[in-house]
Amino acid sequence: MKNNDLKTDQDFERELKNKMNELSASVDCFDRISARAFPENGSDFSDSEFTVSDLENVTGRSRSIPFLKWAAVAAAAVLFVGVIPKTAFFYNFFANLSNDSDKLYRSVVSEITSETEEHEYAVYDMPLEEYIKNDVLITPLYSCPFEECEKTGMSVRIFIRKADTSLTNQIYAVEYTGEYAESNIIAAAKSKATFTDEEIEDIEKSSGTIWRQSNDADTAALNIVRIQSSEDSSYATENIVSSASFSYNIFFKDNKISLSEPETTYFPLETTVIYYPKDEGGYFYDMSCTIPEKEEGYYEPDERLWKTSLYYDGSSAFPEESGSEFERTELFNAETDEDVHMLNKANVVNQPDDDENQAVGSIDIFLNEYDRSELLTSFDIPYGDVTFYIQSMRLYSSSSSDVGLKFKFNGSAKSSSISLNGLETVKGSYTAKSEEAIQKEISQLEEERRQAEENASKAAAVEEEASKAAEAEKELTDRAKAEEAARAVEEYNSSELASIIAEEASKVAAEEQAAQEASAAADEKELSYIDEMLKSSAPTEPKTE
Amino acid sequence: MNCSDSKEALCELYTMFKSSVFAVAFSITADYHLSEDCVAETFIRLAQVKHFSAARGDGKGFILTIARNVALELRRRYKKELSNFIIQSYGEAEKTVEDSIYINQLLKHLSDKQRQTVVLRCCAELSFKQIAKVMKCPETTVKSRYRKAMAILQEKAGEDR
Repeated sequence: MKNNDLKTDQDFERELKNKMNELSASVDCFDRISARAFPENGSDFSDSEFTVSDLENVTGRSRSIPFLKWAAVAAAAVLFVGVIPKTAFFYNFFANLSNDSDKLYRSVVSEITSETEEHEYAVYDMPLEEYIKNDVLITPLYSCPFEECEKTGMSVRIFIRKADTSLTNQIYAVEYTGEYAESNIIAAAKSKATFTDEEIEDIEKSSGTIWRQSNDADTAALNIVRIQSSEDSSYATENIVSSASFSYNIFFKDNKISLSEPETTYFPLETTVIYYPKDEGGYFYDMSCTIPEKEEGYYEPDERLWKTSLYYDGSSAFPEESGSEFERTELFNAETDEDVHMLNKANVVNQPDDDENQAVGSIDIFLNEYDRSELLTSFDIPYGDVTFYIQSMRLYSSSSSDVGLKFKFNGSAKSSSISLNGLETVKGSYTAKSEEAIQKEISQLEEERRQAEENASKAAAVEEEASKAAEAEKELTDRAKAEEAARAVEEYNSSELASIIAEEASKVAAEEQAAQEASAAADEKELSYIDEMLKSSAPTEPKTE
Repeated sequence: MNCSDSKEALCELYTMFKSSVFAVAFSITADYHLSEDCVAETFIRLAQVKHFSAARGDGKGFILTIARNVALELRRRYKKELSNFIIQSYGEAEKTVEDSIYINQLLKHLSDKQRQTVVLRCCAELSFKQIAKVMKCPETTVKSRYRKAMAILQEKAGEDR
């Protein structure tokens, strides 16, 4: 049927009303009504010659007491209770008929069907492995109630009860295969909390809850920077985007405790979640729950908030261990480092597409620098408001309006940008301090500074004395050394001189001796020459005959 | 007003509420003639109420509650005769057939309770609170059903274009 003109609810309502009026216009049964409601006096219905009692017994036989009917029922009951139970048939029959856990599973599925038909629920659809990995981003207080499955095509649908636009912690989850249909459900889980219709109505009627806008995330973000620095995280070294946080605000019912009034068992609960990437993949995370109506209203919910999780055969579907990529570690309660790591933060909003059943998205963060765009990092994020903490100081010593961050959502063209100038600064400590406390801190710091100066001057004096003493000692040492050296030199010189003298003496002696020998030789030679001369010049005597 | 004694009073009520009662009956039975029978039976029963007084809360909601109960009763009794929500043929009353088919087609994608809620809202012009009283469920449930029904109708209207 073409309903081209039915563009709005009002159009439809008008159309339906008009058609129904047209249809009812032809109804005219008042005569019949008045005939029955106001029968004419003296009306005689006895012309049929039957009275009511006769009409009941047109056969003319007397109506017997229905003894046989009741006797048959009694006999059947005796047989059923007394005889049949003793046979194996009874046990087999009822064993095959149902068992308690199977019945429980069917009752959970039936409850989910009727609840989601009767009341408003937020619905999320995702593959099973996605919910297992990212359960903290989807239902921070509730881990995935189903274990991993090797089969492909397994999905999870989560139903979260709503009170107007607010969420509650009445949650159902079903694991199914293929397309969503009751016949394809293989496991179902339900939360411990259930809200009555009156409670939902009260929440809807109550004036808007003021959520606290907690600064706890800023404090935890500073802790993360300190941790990343002390652990020399390779992720943190290479990335300026340190961590991400988001809030999860719901009306929470805890059946164990009652807060302000005995009959009130539910309260608004703000959960702040912060997480940062591990070097090896996955995330570390922590969460802090507060009750906005109460000052210092920190609240620690139970770890297990699911009431039951069953497969179709009645066996438990709870996982033995979590397959989540999120590992919890203490970030909110760790002591902050007063030596502030200056952080900036950027708030983004991850809007879901028209398909409202999406639960988890992703974001790519780019550094835009003039004409260049560089991918810094990617995060898994929930839908809604998310805050990123950025160590932009590591990039530039002075901010520039031409440099900024671009956030690209879910692998699509949707993006938002913010310049470095536009980032909000996260300062060191956000604990609220009184003026007196601040003054006290200032005086304390002054005292410490004065003490430090005094200690420094004392240390300087001591150092000076020490240096003087050292100098004097050095001088003495030097002198001694010099004397020793002089002695040594003298000794050396003396011994050297003696040896030189001795050497010289021996040389002289040798020379003298040589000279003497030479002289002696010369004399001898001269003498021999003379002899020769003499011999040659003597007259020769005649010879006598 | 005491319609057990006064035909005129009953006639006045009939004139005022006939279309609403018919609408409620039709939303349950989806059959013109059965709905007509429901209308008759409703006012007959109303005539048997000894002390009918709007001041005591016996107003439109009261009448429509009777109408609803009668319609459910007749539908239960004649369930086998009602094949589906498409009326086959009445021969002589083509306009009623046309209108019946049209309305049933409009509402065919809704569940039983959603149909009743929509008709009580649009045709009988009851408030959500009154509807909650007639259908014996919380007001939030009524609002939720109505919103869902409208969403379904919008979606189906869009698909049919």
